[in-house]
Amino acid sequence: MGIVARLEQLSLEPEFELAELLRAGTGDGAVVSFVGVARPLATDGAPIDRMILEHHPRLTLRSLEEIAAEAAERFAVNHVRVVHRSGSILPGQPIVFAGACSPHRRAAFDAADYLMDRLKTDALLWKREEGPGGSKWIEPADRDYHDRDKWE
Amino acid sequence: MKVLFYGKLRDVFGEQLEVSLSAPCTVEGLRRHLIAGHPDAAEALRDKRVRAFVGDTLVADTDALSPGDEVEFLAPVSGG
Repeated sequence: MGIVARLEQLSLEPEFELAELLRAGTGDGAVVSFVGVARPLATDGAPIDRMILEHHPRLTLRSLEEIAAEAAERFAVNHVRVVHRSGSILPGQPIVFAGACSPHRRAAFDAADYLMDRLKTDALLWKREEGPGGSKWIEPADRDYHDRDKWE
Repeated sequence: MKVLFYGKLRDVFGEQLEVSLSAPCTVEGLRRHLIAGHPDAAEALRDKRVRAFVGDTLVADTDALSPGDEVEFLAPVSGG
């Protein structure tokens, strides 16, 4: 079992992370990855200049490690990889990479889905969008909590 | 005691405050003290999703605090 969980304050390169996951998954039959990307528009259609993700100096990484470990425990996967950005993120830039490898595809799909549902609500990060209208804190929507709770 | 804030709680309290309490108190007592000084923060600090940590350990409202503790209040989180 391989578990990688990192917090990146400056950049995230999905191509590199996927290459590493593919390498780790040599011998597995399935490699599933998800990349979350910063949107140019808020849910109300307002333009976003940048997204700011604030983190805690110790607890944020710990939360990523816990979520990755729980995914590894829960599904029949051989590798789990979570890399999350913090800091200032421009529209179009990646925010998060979540992936898993398994002998057969279902476990890897489920693990990636689970990782994202947990990260949306349980990763210790604070997100705000900055645009021409000012700065706005973003909290999980009801459906995000619902998506997380369906795994309980 | 030093009290640190994360997320939207920083809009009201800033990153940290030095709080002097004359008597021993619980996490809930500290919360009440903070709200007394910033009534506008009552809703944000009373949000059920706000968590308090001491020494990187999650603490309950009823847990007792020591004068030397560093207490961290975490506003609702959102990743992904």
